[in-house]
Amino acid sequence: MSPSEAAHFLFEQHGDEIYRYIRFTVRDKSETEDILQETFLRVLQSWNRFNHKSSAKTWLWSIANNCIRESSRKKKRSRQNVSYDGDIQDEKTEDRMFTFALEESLQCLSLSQRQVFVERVIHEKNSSETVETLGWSESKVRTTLHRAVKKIRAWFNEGGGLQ
Amino acid sequence: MSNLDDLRNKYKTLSDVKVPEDVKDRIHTTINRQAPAPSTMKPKKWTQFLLNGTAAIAMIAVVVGVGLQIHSKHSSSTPQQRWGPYTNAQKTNSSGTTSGVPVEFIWNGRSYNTKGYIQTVGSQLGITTYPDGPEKVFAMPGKDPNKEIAVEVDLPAGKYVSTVWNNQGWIEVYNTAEKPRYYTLTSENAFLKGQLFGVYSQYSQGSSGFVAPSLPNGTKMFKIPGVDWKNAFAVQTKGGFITDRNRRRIIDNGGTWFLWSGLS
Repeated sequence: MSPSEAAHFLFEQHGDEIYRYIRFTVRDKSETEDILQETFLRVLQSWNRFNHKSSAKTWLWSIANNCIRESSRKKKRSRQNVSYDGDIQDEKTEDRMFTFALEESLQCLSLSQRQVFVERVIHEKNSSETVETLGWSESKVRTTLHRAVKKIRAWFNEGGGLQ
Repeated sequence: MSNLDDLRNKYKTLSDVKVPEDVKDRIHTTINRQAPAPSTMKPKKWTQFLLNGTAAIAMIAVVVGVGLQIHSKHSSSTPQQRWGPYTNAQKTNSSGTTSGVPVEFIWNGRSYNTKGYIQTVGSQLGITTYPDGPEKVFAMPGKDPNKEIAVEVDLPAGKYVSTVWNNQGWIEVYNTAEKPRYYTLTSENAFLKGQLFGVYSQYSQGSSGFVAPSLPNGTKMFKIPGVDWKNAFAVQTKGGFITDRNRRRIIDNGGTWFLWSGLS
């Protein structure tokens, strides 16, 4: 499979899932799109070096995680983050408002907490799958998730979102 | 972990979020564009080194070229070669209106916006290569070619489009890694949604390779939603308008906005 075929294939197979992962981790739509694009460009550039010891999906996630980290570092360096850039502010329906509230709730989490929350809760992955995609230890996944869930519950209890 | 079930139910809606179609298309296009040409021979290490060196020299040459192009854009007497997102394939869908025909042509260092179709043209002035490759440029009868020209388009057959010089400012988007790219900016996505991501300084120029020779330090740089900031971003400078890719003034906001260039 050529790098280009691999990149297209992986995008078709996992594009939506990785988009959600990035989107709810970074919470900024345009940044998400940049990271998504960068991820698949790196797939293209690195495919010939991929050793196939791990699954392509795990490899893809590790690239995405690197891109997220780099983007986060750049953002911190520039210390400029004007506002949350949700794309649903122009949609008024109840469903969309509910979705918006859910997305808002992720704001109370740190980057790593969002990563594990997206994988375990939104993507409903089990612990070992999450260990694989995030490249963390099992205990780190467990404790980070525990803290994330605690914060999210507190956020809802405090009326931060929909009950 | 069963105590996650309630949260999973609550967040189920978010698992339906999918990549927007326009983003999908863009990523597929980017992959195609960036895909290396197939090679049957694996270069040896020293060959690779030479190739890398050549690429670096080529990159430097392009950077120098871009710089010269920026400085000479208003005075150049030769047609500028640029590429845009429009393709001849798109033009074949033309139905006799200006849709499907590039909205912008560059001739003799000037940008012209498409006005509409015309039947009669004056003498041939030359050939423009932007945006779709060679196309004949004609004078418009009784018009100053610096302000209006006609461009022959391949569809509908034998038709010409008249274009008018847009003197509202320049947008320069260069990407030396490949061909220059142009993006459409609207007042909403550039101004309301654009994310301030940095302030121009010598540091940012040096570290990321922005081609921004005339940007003063302290100029604010804004992301264009959906556009990789390494390829293009908007900047705010003193003045009074936001321009889009056709150099049209689209909003007065107390600051002049240009797309600026970045090297990835």
